[in-house]
Amino acid sequence: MVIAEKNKIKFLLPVLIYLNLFVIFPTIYTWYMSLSDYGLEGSRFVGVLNYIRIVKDVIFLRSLLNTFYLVIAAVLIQFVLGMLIALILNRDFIGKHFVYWSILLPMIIAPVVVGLTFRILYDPSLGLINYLISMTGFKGPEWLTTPSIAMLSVILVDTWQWTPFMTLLLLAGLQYVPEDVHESAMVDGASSFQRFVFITLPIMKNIIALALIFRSLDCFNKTFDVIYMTTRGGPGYSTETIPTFAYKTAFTYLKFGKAASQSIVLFFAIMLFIISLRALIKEELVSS
Amino acid sequence: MNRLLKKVGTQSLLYFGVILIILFFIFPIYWIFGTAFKTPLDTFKLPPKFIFNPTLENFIVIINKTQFMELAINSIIASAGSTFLSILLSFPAAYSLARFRMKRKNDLAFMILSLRMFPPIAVAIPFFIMYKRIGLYDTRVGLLLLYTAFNIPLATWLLIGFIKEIPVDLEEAALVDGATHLQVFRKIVLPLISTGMMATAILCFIMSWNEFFLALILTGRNKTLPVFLYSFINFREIQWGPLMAAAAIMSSPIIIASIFVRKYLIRGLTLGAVKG
Repeated sequence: MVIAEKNKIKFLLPVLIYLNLFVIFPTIYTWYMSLSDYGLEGSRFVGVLNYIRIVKDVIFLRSLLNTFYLVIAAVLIQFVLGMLIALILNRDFIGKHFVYWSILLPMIIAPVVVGLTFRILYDPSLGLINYLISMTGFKGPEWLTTPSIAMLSVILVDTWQWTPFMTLLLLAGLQYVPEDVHESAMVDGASSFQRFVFITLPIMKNIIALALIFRSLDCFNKTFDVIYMTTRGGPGYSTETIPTFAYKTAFTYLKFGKAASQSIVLFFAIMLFIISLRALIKEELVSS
Repeated sequence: MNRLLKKVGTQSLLYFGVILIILFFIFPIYWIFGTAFKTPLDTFKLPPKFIFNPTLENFIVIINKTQFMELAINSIIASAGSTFLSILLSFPAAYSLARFRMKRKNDLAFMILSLRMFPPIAVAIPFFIMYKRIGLYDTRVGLLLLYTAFNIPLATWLLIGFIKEIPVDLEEAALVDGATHLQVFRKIVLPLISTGMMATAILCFIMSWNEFFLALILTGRNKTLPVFLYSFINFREIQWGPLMAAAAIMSSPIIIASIFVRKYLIRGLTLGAVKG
């Protein structure tokens, strides 16, 4: 080794200290804040009062539901779409690198810019999307102002931006599937579809898990930007997610204790979701 | 004959699919730049004009009549500063994790990555309160420090990958030949890792540049560009031309960089899973 082993801890120390200071301790403090009634006037300890209130708060429950709806629907749609695109791109053709570049772009454009752009594309009268729909004779819906469709519109924006992530990971996974396994299956008379489901998918298990987990995490934590640029949680509370609701609770209503408890609930919801997801995937592995 | 037809058929279907994919992902980006260069009259014409007389008036409005240029400096400082700091801190950590045999080393690396699970809102609330108390609220430094924390996991993870690509034997051979530790570091490790380091830096910069949530909470008058875009649609009647010009300016450096470091961006965005 290049540098004496005794320095190995020293090398790690700056990062460990920094992360503890800037991420771990604040989160613990948030947990502490969630146990107090923290407003403008100061704070007093109230135990689990905030949590009891949350459970009865209809809007919070709605935002909890919306959050899971967003994550599950978005990740599923992006997985299917991403897989389809990956299968198409898994062949050799001219301009492959240009295609790789063009699917890279949505991921590096700022989410606020993406949200902004789709906000106008979604506009019922001035926007391009409804215009294209009108060319087929149908009338396009009011994407961002209809409660039943608003969340779907947000999911579509997220899908535009992050399907490439899925595609790239799945593409890498597809390239690990050895040809000879496919060939012997073909000799045995398996159809394309059978080969895909029973050979390709199981071999790709690990990378599928990675893709689903990371995409889900980002859907929980990074969708604030797009929602705030398109619907801000409306109409009604149809696109209110826990991050947007907690943000409003903290910075519009200045109820920090309440917002802290909402954040902690989100944190545990994320943990639970990821643990269940991993368990589900392992279960599939065992049963197949 | 049938087989030939089938082959041509699938090939054309393939190319058709590819073209659809390209159009789908590129179109909104084209639209941003198109609108940025259109006159107000052309902007909302339906059917949309693909061939039009470009104008720079939107850019002039944005640059001269708004705070855009001053705020761009905020974004640059916060992004560049946090990128520099996070790489400075992460490089030793990555080297340690990549090279040294350690008990529970994988756990440590995993823990750093799992920080991605922490919702930003859970961190933002205490920071808002604390920054206000110690006077870091609405400062570029304050924002920069927090951005660094969120860049570190990514930077560490990527740098570990890049360091592992340098064969240990190179370093050990140099040591055997009589080089000091420092010389090995400067003459062997650093040059070899320079591209990887550059790629990591670009990715961290992009993440910070695009960041909205923490900037929204922790800045007021010293806002960054993403917050500026947001405030544009809140307090003014929306002027789409200048707004898209702002978006175009904001996105251009990133798009240009992506042409040169495409492979590394893909690698970084997929957390090292996709190498090329």
